[in-house]
Amino acid sequence: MSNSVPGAPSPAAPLPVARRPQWARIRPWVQTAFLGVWLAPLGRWLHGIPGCTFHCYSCPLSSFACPVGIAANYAAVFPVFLEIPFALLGVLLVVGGLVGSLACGWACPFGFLQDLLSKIARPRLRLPNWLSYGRYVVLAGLVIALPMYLGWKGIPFDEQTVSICRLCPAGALEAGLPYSVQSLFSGKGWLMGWQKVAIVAVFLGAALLTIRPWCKVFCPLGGFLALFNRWSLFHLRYKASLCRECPLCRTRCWSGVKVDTKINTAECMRCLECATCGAIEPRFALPQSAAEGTPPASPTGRAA
Amino acid sequence: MANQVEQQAGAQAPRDVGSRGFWPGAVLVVLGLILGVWGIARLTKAETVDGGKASETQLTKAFTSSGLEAVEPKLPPGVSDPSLPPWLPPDAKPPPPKAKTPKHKFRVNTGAATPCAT
Repeated sequence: MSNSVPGAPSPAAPLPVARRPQWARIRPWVQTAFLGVWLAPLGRWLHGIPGCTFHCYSCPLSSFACPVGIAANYAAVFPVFLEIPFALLGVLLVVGGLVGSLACGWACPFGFLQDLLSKIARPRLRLPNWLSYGRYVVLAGLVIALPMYLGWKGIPFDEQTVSICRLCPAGALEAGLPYSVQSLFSGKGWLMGWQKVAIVAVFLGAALLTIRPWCKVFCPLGGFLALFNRWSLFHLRYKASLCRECPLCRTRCWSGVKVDTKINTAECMRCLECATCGAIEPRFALPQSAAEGTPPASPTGRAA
Repeated sequence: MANQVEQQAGAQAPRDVGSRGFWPGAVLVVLGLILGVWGIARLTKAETVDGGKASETQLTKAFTSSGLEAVEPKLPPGVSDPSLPPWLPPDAKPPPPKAKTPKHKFRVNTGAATPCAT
């Protein structure tokens, strides 16, 4: 990062100034607007339709079905019906092909909750990047393999004591907590078990220590959508001519991605916090831009 | 003393500028649209309590509302269960299973509205 490149503008040299949207200021408002989509106050409108964000469908206000819950349920009944959730795959392919993990950074309600928690304590703990492979372990193990194995053993998903929905902090916060409070006020007692309460406590504590711990280490949906970052129409582009070789983009990236050397990786959650100086530019691929071709890179890696 | 040999500047590792074409993403989107529309419209192999086949949206909704009901196999009246010993009287209850027996049949109750316990 600190290596100076021959021909590169020095940090003191004036660079072309362009008017750029302040992504960091816009993002909370977009996330709030998406809350209005995911939390429909009039009830469960579209529970048969999979959503594209991590959001428990047992939440009293949820509009769509949780894609992770659908995948796990389909895996559990796969030995019985041999069914594949084509609608879910379709929704995820559309979202992945259009924007990749931009849905995580800008639309996910659970990610928004973690963002809000990070505003309280200003967490400083940075998790190593290799932990992001945990998302694929959760996806392959807890969402697909384990429910399928237990379903093959004849245990329905509702009765599986270890499953993604039993361990999910979003389910505990969005569904378990409201129903438990409702049950407590109606005199039927507290519903949530101590395991769920412990999961919520650990999650809240972790969210105060580091930014978006669930998204970075565990979220199977985020891991799946991030696989499309290399091909999605929306993408980030590095403009070497505007780079001052300062570490701003790296320090702003809480995912720990070195965006100035490797961009659109599976670790990136596309919060666009790195796109403040102008060297990292969000773009949408269009047919004519594909026809124009890619700018040739100089031997030093800088675009001509 | 070794002679100093002038070296050329080493080329740095090429940077990923992130540029890309339109078609890979477009193909993914079109494929997703086809899969999504077909998935929403099609009927699954799961039966509903009404006797028909459940659509994928009904099956998904059943997951969210505890609408998946296990169906225990029922024998017609007068027919004894072949898995029971023949010396048992016909009205005798079968012995409790030692292990959990697989439930290999479900029906979709499209009218279920109980939220998942999570």
